[in-house]
This record gives sequence, structure tokens and C-alpha cells, in this order.
Amino acid sequence: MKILDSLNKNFPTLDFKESSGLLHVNLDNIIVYDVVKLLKKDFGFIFLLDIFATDHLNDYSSGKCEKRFTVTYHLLHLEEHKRISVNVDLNEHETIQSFSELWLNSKWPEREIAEMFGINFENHQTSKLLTSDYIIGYPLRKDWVYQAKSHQDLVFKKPEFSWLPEIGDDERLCRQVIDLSPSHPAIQGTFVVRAEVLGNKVKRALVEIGLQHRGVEKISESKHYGQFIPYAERLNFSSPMMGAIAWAKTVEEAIEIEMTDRCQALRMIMMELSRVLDHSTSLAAMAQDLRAWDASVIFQRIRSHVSALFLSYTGSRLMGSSVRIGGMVHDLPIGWVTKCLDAIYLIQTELKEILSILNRAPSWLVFHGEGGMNAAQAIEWGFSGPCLRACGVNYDLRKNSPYYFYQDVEFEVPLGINGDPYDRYLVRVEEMQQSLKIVSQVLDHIPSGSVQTEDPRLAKTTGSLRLTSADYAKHFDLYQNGTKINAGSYYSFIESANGELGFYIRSDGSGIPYRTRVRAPSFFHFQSFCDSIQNVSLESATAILSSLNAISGEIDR
Amino acid sequence: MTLSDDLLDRLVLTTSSHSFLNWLEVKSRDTSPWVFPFGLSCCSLEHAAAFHTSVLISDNQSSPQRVRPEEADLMIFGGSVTTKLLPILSEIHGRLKEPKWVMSIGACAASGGLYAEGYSVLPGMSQHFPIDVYVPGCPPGPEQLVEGFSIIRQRMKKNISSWLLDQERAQL
Ligand code: SF4
Repeated sequence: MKILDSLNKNFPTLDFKESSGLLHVNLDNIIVYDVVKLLKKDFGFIFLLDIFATDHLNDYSSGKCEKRFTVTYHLLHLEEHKRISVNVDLNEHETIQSFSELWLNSKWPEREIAEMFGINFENHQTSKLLTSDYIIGYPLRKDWVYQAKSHQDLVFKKPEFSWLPEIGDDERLCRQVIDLSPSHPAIQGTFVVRAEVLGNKVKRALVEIGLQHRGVEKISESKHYGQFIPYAERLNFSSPMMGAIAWAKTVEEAIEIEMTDRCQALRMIMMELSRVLDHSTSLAAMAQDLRAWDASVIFQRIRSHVSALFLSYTGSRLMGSSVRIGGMVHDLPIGWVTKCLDAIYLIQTELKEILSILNRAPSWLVFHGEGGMNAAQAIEWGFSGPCLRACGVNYDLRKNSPYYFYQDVEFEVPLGINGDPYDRYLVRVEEMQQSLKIVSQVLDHIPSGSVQTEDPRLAKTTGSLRLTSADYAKHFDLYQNGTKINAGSYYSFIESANGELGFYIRSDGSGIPYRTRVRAPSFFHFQSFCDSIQNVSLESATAILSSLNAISGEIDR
Repeated sequence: MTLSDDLLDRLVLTTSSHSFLNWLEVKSRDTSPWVFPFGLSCCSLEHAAAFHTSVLISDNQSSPQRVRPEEADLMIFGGSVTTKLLPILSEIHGRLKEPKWVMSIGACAASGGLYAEGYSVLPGMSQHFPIDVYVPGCPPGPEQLVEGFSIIRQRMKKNISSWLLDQERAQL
């Protein structure tokens, strides 16, 4: 409340509002840059969470609103844990000022908006970020119809380095351009990285993303809220359950239903197990890239312990789709708790083994110190999760904006100092141990009851034993039209394995989202990659790449 | 015992080194195929897990894990292929050693899967190059991968590949 008052006092002409835990303000295109600058400099909104746009075609053509597009900036106050959503209305041919001087991480989201909506930013790059030139038009506009060139014309343009006048001829001859891709047959996904190296040092690097752009945000505009869950799972595919839970949580908060205690506890268990799964996947890849084969195999073993737990709960090793809006699909199977306790013990043993192998291994310590990042830089780049905590910033949504029962369990937030690959590794390993601690605490106190809400808006039948025609009608309506959300915009988040994973939903009152935006942590982490490998040796560049845990499903969405 | 010329003729086979190596390669292809894995998204995770949890390793211990496409008998790609990625994938397929075997993992690679209705993911790869085995699933588990792998090895043993068939058809 304090912030809201001081904002209203300092900007008497502006109207700051608070709804569903988020501050809102609507600004004019002319003043937005200055106001946001003040918000950053004087009011402590130093963290740019996301930038995205919305197309209000229906309202615009029916005359309900004057401008067709809205560009929304989400800023975060790291001390008060407040988020503010700054909305700017725009018309098709207006340009808006780029924020790239205020925040380093605003470049990619702005390029994405230009590509998807055709909104122009002053002095921004015109090349496409996610799609290829092959797709004609602006896909996320509401009136876009699929238009593309023929498959024969497809070529992949590799990113090219620009000419640098300050380099001498001698040096230019010595510099070599190497491809760190196109395919990286490890488990990290796909992107193209080209580096210009001098000797063993990377001088410049360029990345090309979008090779896994699957158009999830567009697809969501034709899906019921419940139908989107499988897509949410496949965003960060190394911890699928997290995405699904984050999506379900957003929708549940929007329709304001309370989860049963057992469901909340179950979700916490699943999220923490997913965190173990994600960290072990990323560390396995990291160990493999750095030639620590035995450690990689141990991490894979941890992964298979957790996968086996998921297999017996959901029926699938990875993508179980067992989260529903309003609960989980079924309760824990008999004997699962014992299995889980066994697995926790096994994983803890394996982790001890890893620590004894890796922590002092010279080949692993080599990466100590190169490519480090300080806290200020990390915040500029919009880092969150383990990568931010490795820089020493104590920010964990489970502690700062607790959801479910996170305020009732005991765990610590591990912090690093240097923000280099080694610290990220240490933070991840420690987080795995803390996650196991949380799981065992929740298992000790798991509440009884149902895992699905009894809320009539979600429950399938009216509850009587004999089905009546009203039941059939309700069932038909639920499956045909989906669960409706009141018109408005909603944002919710969880601390996923990679950082803040948030979903923004704009609803027009129907059972289908009008606009969905995924705030994916990897998208922002990976943006920093080119800058952070400058003047770093090639091996360390590999270490940095794998320690960022860049998941292509999240980067490209 | 001294070897008579007669016996020597029966025991020793003279041939050129080139054709011998060729024979050896064809003979050993199905037992130790060289695989070029092209992992794209979710499916590649399960592929990697299958390799690591020694499900596939015990099956073909002699296959090296990282090879260049020029040396590979078999390309395994799993995951969704977008329009942006297609040129890269086609290029790599072109670089594979002949005859080519291709195995696709997952619903996305086979038909676009969940994303077929979107604008970016291709609804199946069969128009672009011939594929020998489709492993269904989203994502397929290690058991299905092993099954797909054994089918590929049978095809290798009999020297049947969709790519070869396509070539023959083109010649007719
Ligand atoms: S088939 Fe399923 S698991 Fe595989 S890449 Fe596609 S969405 Fe992911």
C-alpha cells in the first residue's frame, strides 16, 4: 500500500490502481519513457519482467476503444515484491520509444513485438527474432490469416558479423568465425551460436533463436483453459509439471477458487520433484559438455529416480498431463509415499557422491571465475531463479511471495557470490537438497481430503448419485464452452526451476483466452549469452552456455 | 601339420582392401550403426535418457555417441521441426553417408503433433525426405525407442532403406 500511496502522491495526474495483487497504470505514448525511467530510478522498480503487446481488434472495430494495440511493461520492485503493469495504447502506425537504454533485456521482447504485431520501436533492429522470413504478416494480430511462401524457398540465413572499423588488419586476419552449432546433439535444445575467436578467446558472438518457435501463444487463443495444460507442460520440457501447475494456478486465481489442502500439498511435492528433475537434467548436460562423464551419469541416474516416481503417479515418465484446473487428476497411488521416501534417500546418497567427485576436481574448477556476473548486471538482464541467486541476490518467490504452503515449510535459499558457472552449479546442487527437504516435510504432514475442488463451476456433475438431464447439460456445457473467466487481465507466477515462470491471461469473458503471454525465464537468460562470453575462452563459453540452462522450448515458445 | 595349397585356397580369400572394407561395413552396420542424433525438443530428452540409462547402450555397445553427419549411417531426429529449422535439417540429411537411414521420434516429427494447427511447426517431414521408422509417442519412452531401433537394425541387415527405394523409383 505504501508504494501505491507514494506513486499517487508523486504523479497526481496519473491513475494508479491495484487489482489482484498487481499495480496498474495507463500511460500516454509520449510520457511513458519518462515515467518508467522515474519508476526505475526513484521508486525502485529496477527489474523489467516482461514486455508484450495485445491486439484489441474487436473492441477497436466496434468503437469501444480508440487505439488498437496495447503494449504492456511488467516491472518488479525487488524489495516490496510489488509488480506494476504499465499499459500504453497505440495505433497501427505509431512508434514507441525503445527501452534498450534503460534495460539491456528489453531488446528481444521489443523485437518480438515488432515481429508479431508490426508495432514499430524507435531505432530497433528490424530483423525477425523468432519466425523466419517465410511467414508473411504479423502472426499474433487477430486478423492474421496464415500466409507463407513455398517450402522450396526456405533458406536459413546464418547471422553475420558486422564490420568493425577499429580492428586492425592483422587482427582481422587472425580472427576466425566458428559455428558452435547448428546442431548440438546434447539435451539442451536448438539454437545457432556463431563466435568470432582470436586464438582461444571469443571476441564476439551472435545467436539465432526461434528454431523451436512453435507458436504456442497463438494456439492458446483457440483452446479452452483446460486444454492449454499440455502446451504449458511442453514449454520447459525438463520440468513439465511446473509449467502445468503455473498455468493452472493462474487460471484458478483468475476464477478465484481455493484449492483443497491436499491438492496444494500434492502440487508442492510435484513442483519440488520437478525442480530436482530439471536441475539434474541441466547439470547432466553441463557435466557432459565439460567432459565429466561419470558425474553426468550420476545426474542421469538421479533423473531416472525422479522419472520413476512420475511414472508411477502420472503414467508417463515425462509429460503426464495430470494437472487439472481445480486440482490434480487423481490422488497418490498406494505405496507412492514409501517409494518417494526411498527415492529421496537414494538421491541424497547420489548427491553426496557427486559433491565428492566434482567440488574439488581441477577440471571442474577450471571454470571458476570466468564469465562471472555481478548482481547489478544480472538484474539488468532480467535473470531470475538459480542464475540470479548465484550472483548473490536473495530472491526466491517461494520465500518472498509465498504461495501454497511454502511459508509453512522450512528451507533455505542457497546463494552464490560470483555468478559464474561454478556458483550456478553449487546453487543448483544445494537447491536439489533443499527441495528434497521440502518434499519430505510435506510428506510428513500431508493433509487428507480430496485433490479436486468441489466448486460447482468446475465440478463435472451436480453431485447427486443419479445423473439427471441437468448434469448432462452441465457436462456438455463445460466441455463445449470451457470454464469462463470474467473479462480482465490476470498475471500469476511460480518459482520454476529456471526462475520466475509467469502467465499473463487476458480474458474477454469467454472460455478461451483472448491473449496469453508466457513470461519464460530462459528467454531472458539466454539473451545475455552473447555479451557474457566476450573475452572468455571457448571452454568457458561452453560452460556458461550449459550453466544458463537455456531450454529452447521456453526461449522460443 | 603343413598346409597344402589346396587347404590354403579354402582358408584364405584374396580380395581388394576396398571391397573388403565395404563388405565389413555392410556386415557390421546393423550390429553397430553409427548414429547422428539430432535432438530438438522434448523428445530428445527421452532419447538422451534412454542412452544414458543404458537401455540402448547395452543393445549396441559399439556405437559411438558423437559422430559427424558424414560418417553416420543413421540419423535420429526427435522433436518439432519448424519452418525455420527445416533448411538446416535438410542440409544435414544431405550430408549423411549413403545409403541413408532416418528414424523420427515423436508425434511432432511425424505429423506436427500438438502444434500442427499452429503456423510454425511442419505437419510431418515425409514430404521433405524419406523416413524409415516413425516412433510414436509424445514423448515415446525408452521401450518404444528400443523397439524402433531394432526395426531399423532389421532394415539395415536386409539393406532396405526408404532412401534407397526413393532413388530406385527416381531412376525408373
Ligand atoms: S512429440 Fe511431444 S514430446 Fe515430442 S517434441 Fe513433440 S510435443 Fe514434445
